[in-house]
Amino acid sequence: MTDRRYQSITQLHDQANTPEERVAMTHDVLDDLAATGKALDALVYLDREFALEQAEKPPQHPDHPLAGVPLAHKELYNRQGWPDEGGSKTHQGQIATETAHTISRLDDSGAIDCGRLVSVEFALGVTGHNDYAGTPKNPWGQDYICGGSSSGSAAMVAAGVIPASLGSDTGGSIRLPAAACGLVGIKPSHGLVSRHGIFPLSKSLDTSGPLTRSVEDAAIMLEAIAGYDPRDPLSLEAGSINNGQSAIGDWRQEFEDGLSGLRIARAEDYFLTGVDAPVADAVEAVFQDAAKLGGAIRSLTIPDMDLANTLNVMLIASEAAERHLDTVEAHHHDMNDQTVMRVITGIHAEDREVQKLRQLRADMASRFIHDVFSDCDLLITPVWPFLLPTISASDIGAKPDAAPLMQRIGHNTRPFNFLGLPVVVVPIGLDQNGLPLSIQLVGKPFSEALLLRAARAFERHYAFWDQRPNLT
Amino acid sequence: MDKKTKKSPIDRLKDAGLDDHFITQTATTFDHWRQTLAAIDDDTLGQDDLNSVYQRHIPS
Repeated sequence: MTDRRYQSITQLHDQANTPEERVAMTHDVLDDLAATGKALDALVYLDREFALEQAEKPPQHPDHPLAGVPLAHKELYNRQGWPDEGGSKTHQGQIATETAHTISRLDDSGAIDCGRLVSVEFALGVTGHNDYAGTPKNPWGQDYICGGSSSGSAAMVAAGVIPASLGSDTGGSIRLPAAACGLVGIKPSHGLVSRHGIFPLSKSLDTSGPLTRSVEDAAIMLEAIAGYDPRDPLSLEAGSINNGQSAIGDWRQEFEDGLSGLRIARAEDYFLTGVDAPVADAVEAVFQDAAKLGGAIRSLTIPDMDLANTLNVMLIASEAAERHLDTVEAHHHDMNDQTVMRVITGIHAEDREVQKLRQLRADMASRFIHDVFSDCDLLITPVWPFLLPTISASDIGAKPDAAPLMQRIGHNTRPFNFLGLPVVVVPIGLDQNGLPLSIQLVGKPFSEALLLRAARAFERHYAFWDQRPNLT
Repeated sequence: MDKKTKKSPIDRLKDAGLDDHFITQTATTFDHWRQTLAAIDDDTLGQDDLNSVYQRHIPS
């Protein structure tokens, strides 16, 4: 079974040419999801019959790199007839009545959908704790958190059980788990990927994207799921494929071009002074490496990042309260204390304040795009502001210091949700505890192809792909 | 006949038996954030929404 572990999408696709090969591979992955998913507290649901049926059918597009490749996704992604619990006991037994747009896109690509993986309750948490669905253990150190909220996705991809999994990101929920588990994660540009059929947290801020072990796999997943969807009111035409060419660019064309000629922004204030020394030191070393690889480093002062973090927290809370107030009212005894606290913080918002928050997103994004990306191609920052904590040390529920801790963990990620910008996370090595360290690459709207090119350059340089956690 | 008043979210949660400390603790948190938002002059706000901003940046 484990010889298929840690293989890329392309490697798995190459072994899935016949129905027999696809069924055998899917059997292996289902067994591994059941065993490793249970051991790491990451599994919510498996549908063996459905997955094996998908594996038997000839794919519509047999040459698509995802054809025949078994995957599993964050439990917020609906498939008609499968559980739709949002990681919460309050929705226990609820069944999805339709299939998410992104899941349908993966079906069309020929990917095999095996099941669903743990999310933090309502995706409203950054540490990964969930009393109901489970708190996934980090494959790199099982006393440590995976981060949240796409915690189960990160655990199963980092353990090499599946090559990719969809997560969602409203304040860092793809990037924090990707960084904690040594993965590539993409939070796409605002409007690029449909959120239709994904259990909602914040209608303005929710985004959908992949967690993978390699940059190439992340690009394959993004290409498969990007595209206009009229059922998502914020969806834009940018991802639509016209004549085989997406407006986000052909990532394959410049994929191996490296950092040469790229102008890279280094913002010391906030992103490097606002994090713990071991994290800042590791990221400073990345800037030195980037310069050696041909990048031109430009130090900038970027104002209002602290403001963007706070405004993002406010908008998440306000829209979460709007969406989930009825559930809290009826079922708060069945909810994690931290979820209750974070949802009801938003009930104190007034309508005019929520409107102002949405307006400020547009104003601040316009300014940021002009001020930063007129002279730079991308910005590099840390992801986590401190070394990863253990599961027990970060289990603070709804204690008074929970809100400041949540805000602190999202220090580097939330500003870019507020601004809607595309971000790619890539691992750079291990910290003093043997846990992954990562950076995030931030670009202007729809610059995913350029960010993937830069991420590929760092992937080649740091060779993290070759490192694997010890699961025994 | 008097028009029935719609309950506020806070009253709904209190009636549902939610512990008061959740209400007071979260009100304090939001009031702290609110000061940040209130410090931004409403007259400086633009007219665009985020979709319009991003629409302008779709590569041709």
